[in-house]
Amino acid sequence: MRIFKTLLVFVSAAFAIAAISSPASAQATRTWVSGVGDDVNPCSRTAPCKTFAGAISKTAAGGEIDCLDPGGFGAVTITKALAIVCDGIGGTVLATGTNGIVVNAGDQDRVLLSGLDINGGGTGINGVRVLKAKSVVVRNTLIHGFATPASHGISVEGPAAVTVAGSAIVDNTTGLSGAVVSGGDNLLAGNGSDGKFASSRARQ
Amino acid sequence: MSPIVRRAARGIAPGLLALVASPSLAALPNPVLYLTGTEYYSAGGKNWVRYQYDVRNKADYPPQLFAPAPALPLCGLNTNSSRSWVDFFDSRGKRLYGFCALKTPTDLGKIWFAVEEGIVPPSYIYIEINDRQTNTKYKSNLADTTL
Repeated sequence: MRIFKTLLVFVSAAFAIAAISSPASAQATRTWVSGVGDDVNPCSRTAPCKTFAGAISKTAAGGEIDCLDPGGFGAVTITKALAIVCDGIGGTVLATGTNGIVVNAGDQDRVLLSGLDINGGGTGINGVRVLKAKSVVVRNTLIHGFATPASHGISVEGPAAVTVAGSAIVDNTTGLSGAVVSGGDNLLAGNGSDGKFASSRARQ
Repeated sequence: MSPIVRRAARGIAPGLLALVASPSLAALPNPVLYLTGTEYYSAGGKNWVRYQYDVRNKADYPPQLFAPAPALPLCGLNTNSSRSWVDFFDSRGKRLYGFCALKTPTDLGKIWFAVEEGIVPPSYIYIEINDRQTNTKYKSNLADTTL
């Protein structure tokens, strides 16, 4: 009987551990996308995904999607704390007829977008559209070609501290809409209306 | 002529006609498929993303490949479907969508499939042109779903 009880405890513990660990193991803290990847892959470095949208479901909250090589990685909606980092690689989001990157995360979630080329191809709606997050930082990123009458390079439409640094927002109908703080070294040019950076003091 | 010979001649005649009508089809190349763009639209109360493709070598296909073929099996209720049908597949061979009434090879320049917005599409897809008259399939390269 004692052996049976011990066995029961072990089996129960094994089931409990499996139940707790399974969801976490399905998502990696760091995932990868590649121009020759495939979204059926686990988004690991040796088996990368093809798009940000394909990688995000395999990336844990607070994790990071990195670009392995140049490519068009598609539009994406971010719903959790996440970093997308493509510096020095050539990570492009071509968003014709739609939004490039939509941030609609939790009110404590921080989002970082770094080293991207977000191109609206003349028909894109918004380069980066922020609906909700604790903070959104856009750095070293080119946002251009969002040129329909209602298009914006960056559109902040909800509660979030949005900071842009080292980026170029050019050739859009409107460069900035909503409260966007400059972290310095930005270029706003060639937009129908550039818009203005908010005072950094006002955002703090 | 004996009845057996007559029956054999009747059976062979359609095949000979097909060969005469399309002398150059045996040398057709496989289609070279590429993504031209995406389009967002609404239908049936849902939002969809249409992935639009062109076949770069569509001019290599003769018009008779897409002629109306009422003698071949129907395409649903369409009694005038074309001789060749074009189907989209994901890289694992799952059929995604198809066209059964393209009228000319030029129509290969505006073929598409769609997925509901928010659904991640297959990363790579291909098409098959199925010449139903000769039972010949022309399979394309794998094409991207992102630009």
